[in-house]
Amino acid sequence: MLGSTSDGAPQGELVTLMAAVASRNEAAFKTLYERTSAKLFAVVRRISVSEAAAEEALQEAWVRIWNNADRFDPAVASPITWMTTIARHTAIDSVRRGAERVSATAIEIDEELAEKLPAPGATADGLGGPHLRRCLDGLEADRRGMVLLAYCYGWSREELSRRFDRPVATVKTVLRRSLIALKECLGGR
Amino acid sequence: MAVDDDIEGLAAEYVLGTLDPSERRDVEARIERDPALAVAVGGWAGRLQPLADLAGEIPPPVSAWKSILARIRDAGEAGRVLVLERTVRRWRLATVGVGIAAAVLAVIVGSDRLVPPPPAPGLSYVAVLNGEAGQPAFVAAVDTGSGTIRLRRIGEAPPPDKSYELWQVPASGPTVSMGVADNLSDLKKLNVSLKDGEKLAISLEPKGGSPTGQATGPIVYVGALLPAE
Repeated sequence: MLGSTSDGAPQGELVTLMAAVASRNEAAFKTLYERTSAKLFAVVRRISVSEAAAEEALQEAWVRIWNNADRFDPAVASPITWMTTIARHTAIDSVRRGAERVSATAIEIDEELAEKLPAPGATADGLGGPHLRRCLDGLEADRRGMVLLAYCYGWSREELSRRFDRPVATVKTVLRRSLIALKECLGGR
Repeated sequence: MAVDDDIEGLAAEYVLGTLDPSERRDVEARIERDPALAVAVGGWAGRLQPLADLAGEIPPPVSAWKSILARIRDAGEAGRVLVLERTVRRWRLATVGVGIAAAVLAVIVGSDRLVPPPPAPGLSYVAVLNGEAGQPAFVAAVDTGSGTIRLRRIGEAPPPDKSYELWQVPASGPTVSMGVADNLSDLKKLNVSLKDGEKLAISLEPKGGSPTGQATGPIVYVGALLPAE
């Protein structure tokens, strides 16, 4: 599933670049940036409230990648998933520091998500890998919405609590159960 | 704070991004010493990655790269010390178990509580010795309290007919040999005083060390002593 990035950069090459970045090699860092920044910017842009906030989060994410490259372990994650996690967390940090997102944003996001959410019985290829898509299909609509809003748009438990009118503690429980159900559906992989 | 034992749920929510800041920091600290948690986080990041791929690609503004480069260069020394401290910490954890079976070592590394407290406080310094291309080759930790220097080689071994030799390089005056540094990890008694800002250097010498008491071969690695904690 994670054999290569969508832009075709072979996984092994990214691993080699990461090792060079860990030893403070700026040239390798620049190559890594060129190979993967468009992907990370798209991920960050979806979470951030504005273009400017997204660019700031992207910069911060790359500083974190530089500073933490020695922690990257190719045995537990691919470079792109490791960098994606850092980029998403950086963007989420920035959103949570800022003013609360207005409810209008929520409505817009819901409509956008609805377009991407699979119709029952549909076989379109829009939503992630085919296995993940099938398993998301299997979740109850509210649960699927929570997982997608959190992962794709960086919604907090509190934001989800207001949107779905459930206590924060319940949101936590529901998220964990939904994710474990996803994992089981994916065959425990 | 209560320890969250639901490793899968914790890892899943960590990747999802719904942990609050203190929970997230806890997970990040735990990942360093809990391989099971690290593996669980890696698993979740991979499992949910298709949702990130769905975002597609948007080239960032051209100005972004220059800003990033400026930021990492500004923070250069701080960033280097950060990485260095982690290297030293990992190495300390690892050296705790020298002479003990690997399985026992794994247990010790796995839990902070089982690691003995650090030795009696003296002045301590750390240094990363880099080659010309910037690649780290040795990490040195100096404890003036116990009079020891621990040297760990993380780069290449010397050629078979050569030895690495460690030198103290004062701001002025002659360099002082601190011994041959061929073993992967050397623990040496210090008989010289070290000061903040002094340098440590490694030269390539004939097997067994310099015959003259001064470096006869090229200085291949050098690094400044920095106060640790």
